[in-house]
Amino acid sequence: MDMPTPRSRLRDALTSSLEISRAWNQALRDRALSPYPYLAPIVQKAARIADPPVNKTPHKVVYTRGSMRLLRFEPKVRKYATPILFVYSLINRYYILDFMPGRSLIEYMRDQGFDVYAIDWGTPGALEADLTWDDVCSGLIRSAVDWTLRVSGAKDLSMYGYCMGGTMALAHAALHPKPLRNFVAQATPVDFHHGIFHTWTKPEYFDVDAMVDAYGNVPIDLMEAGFSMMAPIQRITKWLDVFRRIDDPEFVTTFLAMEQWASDNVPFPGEVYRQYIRDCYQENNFYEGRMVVGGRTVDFKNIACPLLMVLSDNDVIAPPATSTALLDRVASTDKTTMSFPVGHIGLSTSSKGPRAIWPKIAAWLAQHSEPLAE
Amino acid sequence: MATDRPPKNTLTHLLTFVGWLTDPKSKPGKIFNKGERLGTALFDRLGRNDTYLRLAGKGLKVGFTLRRGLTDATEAWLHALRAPTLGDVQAMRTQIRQLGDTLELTQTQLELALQAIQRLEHQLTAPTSPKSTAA
Repeated sequence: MDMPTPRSRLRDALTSSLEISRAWNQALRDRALSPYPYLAPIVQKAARIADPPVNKTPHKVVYTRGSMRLLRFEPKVRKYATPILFVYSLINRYYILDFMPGRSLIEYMRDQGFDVYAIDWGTPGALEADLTWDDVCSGLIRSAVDWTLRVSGAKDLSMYGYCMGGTMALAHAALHPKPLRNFVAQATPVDFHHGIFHTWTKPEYFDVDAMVDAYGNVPIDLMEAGFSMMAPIQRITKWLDVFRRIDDPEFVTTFLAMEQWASDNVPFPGEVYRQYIRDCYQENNFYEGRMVVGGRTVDFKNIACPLLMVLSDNDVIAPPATSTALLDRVASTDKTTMSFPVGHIGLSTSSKGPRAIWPKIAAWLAQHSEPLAE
Repeated sequence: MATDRPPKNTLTHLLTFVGWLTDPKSKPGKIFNKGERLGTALFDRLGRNDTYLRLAGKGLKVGFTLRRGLTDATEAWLHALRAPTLGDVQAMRTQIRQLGDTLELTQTQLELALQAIQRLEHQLTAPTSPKSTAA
């Protein structure tokens, strides 16, 4: 590379400062609370790297309804008739499951020969404010299941729920257990009377009705503020670690990719949030078998298919105890638990994923899926 | 990879310096880290403190109630002016959504009917093909 001249240095400095001020201007206009839109352009310029390659696995939209889309990630060589349907949380976006090339859970499963589908909830707007758990479980997820079966030509599928997506998928599975061949619950909270969120959402501290009645959908700012309170200091100081490793492009790219996803919040559909907080965090009705969705009680005893529970040892969002509680509640006789020394998000983004975590999950799924007749 | 990257710029040096200032291995970094640990412990205690959580909850509730009151007052005022309000628009949105859902259901049912017809067609043509081949 040519040596920079004083003139080219000045030009680069001017361009950089212009781009950074433009990005800051936008962030201020969006009233962004996350440090990402303010710090990312500076780090990117200082590290001399391009935008992180996030969510790059090719896919097709096979079904849409409201803001929801069903995406298909078709394998080059399909080995299994049983497709996998990923159900992600309504908090943040689904593409943490398709993080970066070589570190994407969806890409990994597709490359193992599975026909992979994922629900992208999109960005809920005013239309989604009135969505209920019944609309989500018996409407949207059920339609996604039907379309997955229709497009893949399969008679049953493996449902793969992650975080709150796992909670919703479990409710769906309890209400409509029939076309499910397997269920994977990854970092899925079931017994909500554990952890800091249970404390914060206690009825004496938090009036969920007042919030939903005031806003409709829970706005991004409030969701972000809640998550920030979990580790407000580390939210800023983790960037200092990046400053120290600014000459490590791989580390900086992965960090920026993660922060990009973490700051890409979406509003939470109001009525779903109201019932989620009340029936899960405040009254623990979901775990106790008292939650009613569309006039029917969510009873885990209806789930009899093979169950794989994937846990992260260092999970502060869904501590293992919140998930393992499910094991005694389902009717499944084939139950497997896998635990990995990573955090909640690390299950889907850690460098250990393609080496130590996903091969084990894929092997379990392969063993429990119908092989495709050649 | 590193050879393809542009040379270090002023920002790179500046951030590296800030990084050094806060590095647990450097002298100023040790002080910074002590402060960080202290701050974390403080926020952790605050996040579990009953009085703080009650106060924060009350503050939030007041904010939510005020916001709702403001929205209701604006709607009432717009109604008085015979202007469409956000509530009216949302009611219309709900109706459009219901129409959209009905349309989608019809589409799904049509597709299912088409699939059933195709299956039937396939079943009807399947046994006749060997005969026609034999003929």
